[in-house]
Amino acid sequence: MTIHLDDEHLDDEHLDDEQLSAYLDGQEPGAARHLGTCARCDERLAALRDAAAAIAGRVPGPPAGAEERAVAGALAGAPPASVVHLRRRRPAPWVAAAAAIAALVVGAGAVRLLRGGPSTTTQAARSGRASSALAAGTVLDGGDLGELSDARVLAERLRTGLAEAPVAAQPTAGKTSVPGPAQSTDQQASRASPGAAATVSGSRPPCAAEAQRTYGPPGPLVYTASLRWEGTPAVALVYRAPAEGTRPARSQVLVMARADCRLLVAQLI
Amino acid sequence: MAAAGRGDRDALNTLLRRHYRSLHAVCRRLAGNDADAADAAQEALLAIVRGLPGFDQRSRFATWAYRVTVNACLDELRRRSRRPVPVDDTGPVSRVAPTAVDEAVAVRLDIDAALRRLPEEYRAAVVLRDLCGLDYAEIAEVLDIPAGTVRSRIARGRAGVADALGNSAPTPPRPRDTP
Repeated sequence: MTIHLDDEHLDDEHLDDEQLSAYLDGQEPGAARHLGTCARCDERLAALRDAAAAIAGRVPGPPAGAEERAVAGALAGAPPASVVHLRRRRPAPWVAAAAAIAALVVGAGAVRLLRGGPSTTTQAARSGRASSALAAGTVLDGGDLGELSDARVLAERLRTGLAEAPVAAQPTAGKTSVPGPAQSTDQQASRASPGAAATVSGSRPPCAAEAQRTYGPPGPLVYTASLRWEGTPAVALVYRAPAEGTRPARSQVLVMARADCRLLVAQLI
Repeated sequence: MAAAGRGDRDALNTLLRRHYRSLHAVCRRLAGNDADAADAAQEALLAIVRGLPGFDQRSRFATWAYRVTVNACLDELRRRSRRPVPVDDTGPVSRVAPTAVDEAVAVRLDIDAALRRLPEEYRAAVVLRDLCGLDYAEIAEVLDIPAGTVRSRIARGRAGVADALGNSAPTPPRPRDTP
């Protein structure tokens, strides 16, 4: 039976776990009247105190490198103040109309491709004349951006490249996309998850697997380019997230050192 | 803190590093193993960064960060709930002979297994109280539950750990989860 702590007849009753636990936390000062006179409650109190001490005991530290990865990953997902002003401006009405017409053209082209028509998109990309007709699921290789050290310049270069990249689409399991030169449509269809898309060049971009595993980018990889960032050979990976409601779509940029896939720059554009 | 909230990356970097170890410790206790704890702590930092612009500073940053961390960690663990756990928790928790292995390792395995046997709501309450040292009002804020519920969850959590560790006296009647 549980003791009511204002009860004067305590001899045949005991404190319950909640009372004893609260007493440990200084919440039940009245329990002291009973404790010290009841071996059973004293023993239970000691057990609860030991449990609390075990929970508070030494906690194993993080594995080596975990803090670096966690902080870098978090910063990669942060909206950096330095690039807030680089958000795309609202397009003029004529631009929106042109985009709508372009979307219709892209749609017609995609239908043609899915029906087995000529794959003009991969040919265009291969020849360096990538067009906006690239289908979702294709990664555009932007070539070499050269030596860079300014995040604003990097953002502008990537925005220019992104204008040629495929339009963001909601990831759909099993969605068919345009196969790369060395891949069949069936192979591609089985790899339609974000970050696992085909590349125009037919090979997986360097550090893409590391970026996917460590930073979990918000959408599919759509663009990649080589560069030297402050002298370090690097690869830029651009992931495009689908638009959410009225919020415009943004792209997550990860620049990683080619040698060890260390994160050099992370920004949203 | 204010600079980090405005997106200053150096300030954000400093803030995250300052709190990483304590937040990782929460995840380590909630997860019960190193690999899940590291991943959960990373998710927690990301959630903190994403939520920081909305942090209204009505509570201490640490309290808010614990709230974000517990939620992120439990979400991460729920996503992984079908994955096999690295330590068998189906049977009674047994101590390894202290003469055979480091006593600290044995105790650690015991407390990991004992905590894992608790429902997550009790686990979170006792970890916030006994590891983080939050008071009942702060835990109520972190877990978004009434203070009376905090008290009963802590009691149940400690009792569960005490019973699992096998050094408990006969158990008096258990309190119900009262608001």
